[in-house]
Amino acid sequence: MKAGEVEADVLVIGGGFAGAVAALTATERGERVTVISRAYGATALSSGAFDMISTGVGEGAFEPALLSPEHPEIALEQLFRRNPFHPYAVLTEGLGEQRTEVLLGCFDACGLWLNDCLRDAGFAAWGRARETQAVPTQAGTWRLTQCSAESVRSADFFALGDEHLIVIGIEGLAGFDAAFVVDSLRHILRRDGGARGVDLAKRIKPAVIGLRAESGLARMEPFALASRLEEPPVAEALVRKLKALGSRGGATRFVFPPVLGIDGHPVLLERIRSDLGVEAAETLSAPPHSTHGLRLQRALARALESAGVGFSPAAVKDFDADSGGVCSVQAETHDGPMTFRAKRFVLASGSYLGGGLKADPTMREPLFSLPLFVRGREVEAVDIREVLRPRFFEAQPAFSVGVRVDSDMRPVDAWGKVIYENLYAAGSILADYDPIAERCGMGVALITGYRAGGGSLTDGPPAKA
Amino acid sequence: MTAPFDVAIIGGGVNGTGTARDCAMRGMRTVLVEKGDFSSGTSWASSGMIHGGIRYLQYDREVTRSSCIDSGYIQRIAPHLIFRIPFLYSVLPGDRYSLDLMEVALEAYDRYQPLKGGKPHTRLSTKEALTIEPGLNPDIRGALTFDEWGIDVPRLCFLNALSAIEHGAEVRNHTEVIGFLWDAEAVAGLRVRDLRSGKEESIEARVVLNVAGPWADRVAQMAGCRVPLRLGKGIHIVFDRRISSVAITAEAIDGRGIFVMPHENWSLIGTTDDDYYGDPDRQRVTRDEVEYLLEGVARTFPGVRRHRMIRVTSALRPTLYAWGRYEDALSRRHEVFDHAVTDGVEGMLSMAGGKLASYREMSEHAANGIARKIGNSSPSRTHLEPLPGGDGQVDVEALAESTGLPGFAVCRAAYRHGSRAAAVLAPITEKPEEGEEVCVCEPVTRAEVRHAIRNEQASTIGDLFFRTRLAAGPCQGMGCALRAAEILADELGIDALAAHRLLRGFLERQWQNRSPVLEGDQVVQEELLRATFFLALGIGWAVQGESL
Repeated sequence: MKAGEVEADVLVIGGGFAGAVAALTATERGERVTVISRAYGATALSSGAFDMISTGVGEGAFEPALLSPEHPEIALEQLFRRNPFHPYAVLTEGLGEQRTEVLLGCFDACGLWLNDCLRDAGFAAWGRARETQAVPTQAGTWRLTQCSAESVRSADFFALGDEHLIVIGIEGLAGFDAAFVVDSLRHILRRDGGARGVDLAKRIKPAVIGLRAESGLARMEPFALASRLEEPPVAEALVRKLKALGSRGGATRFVFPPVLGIDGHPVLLERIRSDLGVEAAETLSAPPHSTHGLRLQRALARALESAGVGFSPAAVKDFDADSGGVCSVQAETHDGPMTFRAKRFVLASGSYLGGGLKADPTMREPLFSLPLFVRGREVEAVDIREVLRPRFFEAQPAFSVGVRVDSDMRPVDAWGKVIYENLYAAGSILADYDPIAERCGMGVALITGYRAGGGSLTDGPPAKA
Repeated sequence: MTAPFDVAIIGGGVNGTGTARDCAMRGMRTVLVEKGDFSSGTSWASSGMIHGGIRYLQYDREVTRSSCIDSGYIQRIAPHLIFRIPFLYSVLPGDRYSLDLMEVALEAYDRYQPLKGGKPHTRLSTKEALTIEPGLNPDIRGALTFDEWGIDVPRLCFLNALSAIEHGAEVRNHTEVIGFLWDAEAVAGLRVRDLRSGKEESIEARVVLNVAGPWADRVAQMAGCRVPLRLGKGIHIVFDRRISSVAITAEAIDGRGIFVMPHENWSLIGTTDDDYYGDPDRQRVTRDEVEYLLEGVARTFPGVRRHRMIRVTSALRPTLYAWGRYEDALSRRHEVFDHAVTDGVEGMLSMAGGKLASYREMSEHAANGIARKIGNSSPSRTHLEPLPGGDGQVDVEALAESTGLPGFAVCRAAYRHGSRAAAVLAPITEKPEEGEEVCVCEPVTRAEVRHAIRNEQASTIGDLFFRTRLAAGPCQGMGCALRAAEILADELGIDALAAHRLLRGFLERQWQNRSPVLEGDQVVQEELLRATFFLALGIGWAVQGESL
């Protein structure tokens, strides 16, 4: 190996959720892995929910979530019929009637395995494909999902018993209005939550505490406050103010805005539980201050490090290929240009947000110039505005454009022919699904990342050593 | 028995609000109804200039002269609201007009400049022009400068409405005309519906003025009358920031004059002018219109395509009907129609045509017509009395000191509110959290948002956009739309679900303005905006059954 060169068995391009899952999978299979990441992308802005699939909500589609459990198996079967190019369909080609079961099982198994990888890195999420959660958002909606960050899941409507909830507002905190959140949660509970909902609506209250002086923050921005709350005196002040509330309201569970620390959040959550004897939950987080996403992104980096994965902050500029496939990629690092050689390459560079796709205004994949597809058709030199639909709140082909792959996750051309034998793709760069409107982005990233990393759908993930 | 109102005005654009102010100041009992928000139609999507109309010099000097006089009046009544926009007119080989020919025109224009406080033109060498604006095509043969004024049109409209209110008028937005009241063969008032509550009612008035802009003919037809219009569609492209130091004119492929212009915190490229035959409520901006403007500007200002487009504006000019002329050559004259003369219907007037810069004079003409009908002999005073906030200076530094706000935030509030800015921001002194920047892009404080809801008839997020420019920046509401909805819920006493509906309505409407220029970096922003509202906030998502 020459100076300025890195050699690995597997080179993963993209350090977001899909890329990290691919890297961890390949590592556990005994391969030497390096991840190249240009910058934080969509994962660092994610909400704290890990969706597998949305079953849709019928006539109330454009109302805030209806509070009834979803049936992912029905959604998947509809999806297989409706969209044979969806990554879930492509992944399970040839599995016949078992495909739904296999996918649901894979989501759960991969989720458990990943949770083991991440727990030591300071991040935990909880969920099962068949157990719908309804978790609160900063807008006071109940958001349906299959899995969420542990603190979020702690406010899951379906798992709550006879709890008394206090939604904690923090004076001056931008983007979180506790009174509004409670009003909204209550309305949806009464409208959609059945008898349990009506009952819970009576036991949910707002309260506002001040932390301006203690935090020393002139502007209460979420990240700034989350960092300050990791300092013992500020955490102390928070606990003191909560004690005053707890004794008054008889609360059994506090629901906070997502500001209870960044890397230190497990410690702070535990402290609130033990000092106050009250469960602590957080709502999902929203860009631009998506605390759960930031925690996840940082935990992924720590998990990669402790798994022995090489990590290089670099931007890929070019690549070399021969008849056997991709030989190497050239990337710009802090120390100048570097060449990365590997036996296999995984492209997990994301969609527009991550930089995996460009639309200037012609849609293209900038690294390997891979052909892009939507609705099963190649979009060659197409202006993004030609694939926009008229409404905001609907699935958008422009955000479903991507790379088409075979069932091994290798990009293919319009005739289904593999383009480079050793190039794989995973995550939101894939074609024919709208990760946002269909609410399946994290699930697809998890399962395609695992698959592109060399995992098998039917064998289940490797047991954590 | 007399009707409760002397005049009922249909349309809350610049002419409607301007006429309401004039009528109310003359002591007429005035009511105005607007189906959207004030300025939300043609006025808003104009170029936002109180210009003298140099382009009208070649065929309509009277329009230029009266525009310049009126521009001078507007500077006096709303000094806080106008800002100087220097223009660079550069000439490339092959352009329609040479520098010498243009200089002759500008010399003629210089004669009108003193009327509007403008500076005389100057002639620049290529090198001088490139020093002022390094982004210009270096092949230019030189350039000329001339001087115009810009204005925040939604503020101008609202300040006219506010002045009318302060002179006793009743002014209602989100109220649609659904029919007319009749007294035998004469119009005797309006049937209206509040589009928020659905409530219908009658408004009796001695005279009705129809200034519904592109909807004027449709409104007139409800009364069995016609307003002959030739609608001209005009779009602008909006950039996320000011992309040039001064305004730059350019020539489009068909030889028409277009421009790229810094305007408040944006830059605008405008404008197109195309005959329009469709439904005024369903305008769609096409890629051709966008490309036409970019292509023309890129010739003179080649870097334009590297900049970030965030949205378009689109509206219809209610130009007076004429056959046999190109759109561009249509007169910008206006006309007041007395439907007693044109259609045999008493009690109703319409006004159409004209241009933004002449709104005050047009409003005076319309008010004169109404005054004659009802026997009011007071003269117009709209050119003498300042608009609300236009009567004094703001000590920006002192206000920044007392509120603890950044100077830029205070400057923007002072721009919008003039001498009343201190009162708008006063709550911050007592409650610092009212100084929170709800919209960070513009910026707009919580105190100003509350003021707009309490005192400026804002009841939707779109209304707040017009009053304060909330959500006008590059993030297009990602960071502020929910907060705005929360404040609306708090102030209006509506429940959270109604606030969610306001939020969805705003996002849905803004998509129409964003999608025609969605490309490059803005696609990344759009993806983040979608993720925010669909995934992080759970405001709404598509149905499974909907195919991609």
